[in-house]
Amino acid sequence: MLLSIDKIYTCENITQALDYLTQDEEAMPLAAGTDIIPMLRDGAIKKARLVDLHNINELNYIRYEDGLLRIGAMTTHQSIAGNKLVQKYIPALSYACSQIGSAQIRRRATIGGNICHASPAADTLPVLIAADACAVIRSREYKKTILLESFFTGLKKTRLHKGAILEEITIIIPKDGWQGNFYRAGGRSALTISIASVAVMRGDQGIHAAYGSMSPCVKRIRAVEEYLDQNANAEPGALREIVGECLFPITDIRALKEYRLEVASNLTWLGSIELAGKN
Amino acid sequence: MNGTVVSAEIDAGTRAIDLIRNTFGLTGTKEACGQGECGSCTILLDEEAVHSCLLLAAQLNKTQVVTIEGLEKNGELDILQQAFLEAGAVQCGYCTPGMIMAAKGLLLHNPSPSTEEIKEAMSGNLCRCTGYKKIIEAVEMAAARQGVDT
Repeated sequence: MLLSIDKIYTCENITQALDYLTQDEEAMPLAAGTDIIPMLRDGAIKKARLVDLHNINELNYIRYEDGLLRIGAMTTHQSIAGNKLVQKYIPALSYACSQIGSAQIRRRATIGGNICHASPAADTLPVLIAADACAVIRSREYKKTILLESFFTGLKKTRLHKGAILEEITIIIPKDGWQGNFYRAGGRSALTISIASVAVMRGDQGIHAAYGSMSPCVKRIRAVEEYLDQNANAEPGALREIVGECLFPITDIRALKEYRLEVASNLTWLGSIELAGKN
Repeated sequence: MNGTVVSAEIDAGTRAIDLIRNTFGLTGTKEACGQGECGSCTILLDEEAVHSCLLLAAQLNKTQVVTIEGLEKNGELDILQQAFLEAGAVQCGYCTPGMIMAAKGLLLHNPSPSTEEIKEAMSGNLCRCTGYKKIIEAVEMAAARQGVDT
């Protein structure tokens, strides 16, 4: 089988990648390719011109300095899952990365690829968005930092313009670290696409809750957060009501919308119990 | 590729699995789902088990690749291949090269894995005939023998 790829640019550094992306207007960044290759195979993308970022070492790191955790876009899920800084400051991200795809996929696939594919079912996104992570976007002309929640403009759509790459993700770490976890439901545990997912986490400003597979873009739901902040003993029924007022999931091959709402509110309830340290 | 330096002129759209099977004739690596869900096409890329159907051939440039054919040394089967035979971990055999390469990747990094660690490392590999019990037993057998050898 021959995929419809016209050109692959290999790069050793960011400058080289940005040059290719600027000079070739049709070119798009390639991370590991674990999402793009099946799309090329199915004909969803044709005549691709790809700038391969995967081997750029300066995009592969995890650092912590002065309360800020920084993760390079080409860091793999396996590296994040096993990283001691991530486990210490935002364990939910380590756990979410350990649940993606299979071991084979986690060794190749990157956090930047997962974000830029912009799937509402991406398993890193609820945790990152609940933690108010920021995306650092870089082109030859500019470098800007935006809130990750506003990086997405629709289903599989982002604010990443031609000629730019996602360089890194930054997360401000609260004084006690980001408490809480990521919860998801799917058909099985390995190699599944989440039917519904939620990150329920506590930072310096209270509880944050962000949902995956429930709307075109992963987002925080402030009404749920307010309810959890005000009610130490959250009620499943009340959560179901709030979730139903704020989220409008679709019915598709994986689940009915009613089931998604039920699962999302139950997972939120579970998260609130675990966050409160009760069982 | 399996310890030999190789080169090939290829189309940009060539997948790693097609380079391995068609250009180099190493047909031990199998394709089933073609989209990273079954693990049949697992190879070692720089000593890490990965899917060759989700890799472009161009991404193999300047890397070390080991396929199932590369495990046999001087006419002797690898410890894992021998264990799969003895444990009866093979039925139709189509998933076996991928299973063995996933297990090889595990044992390279973790010579004495727990049963849970074996299950985790093999969770991306599907078998539709044997069930997984004998496959896990084979990996445990190989790990135990490897420990004796080293």
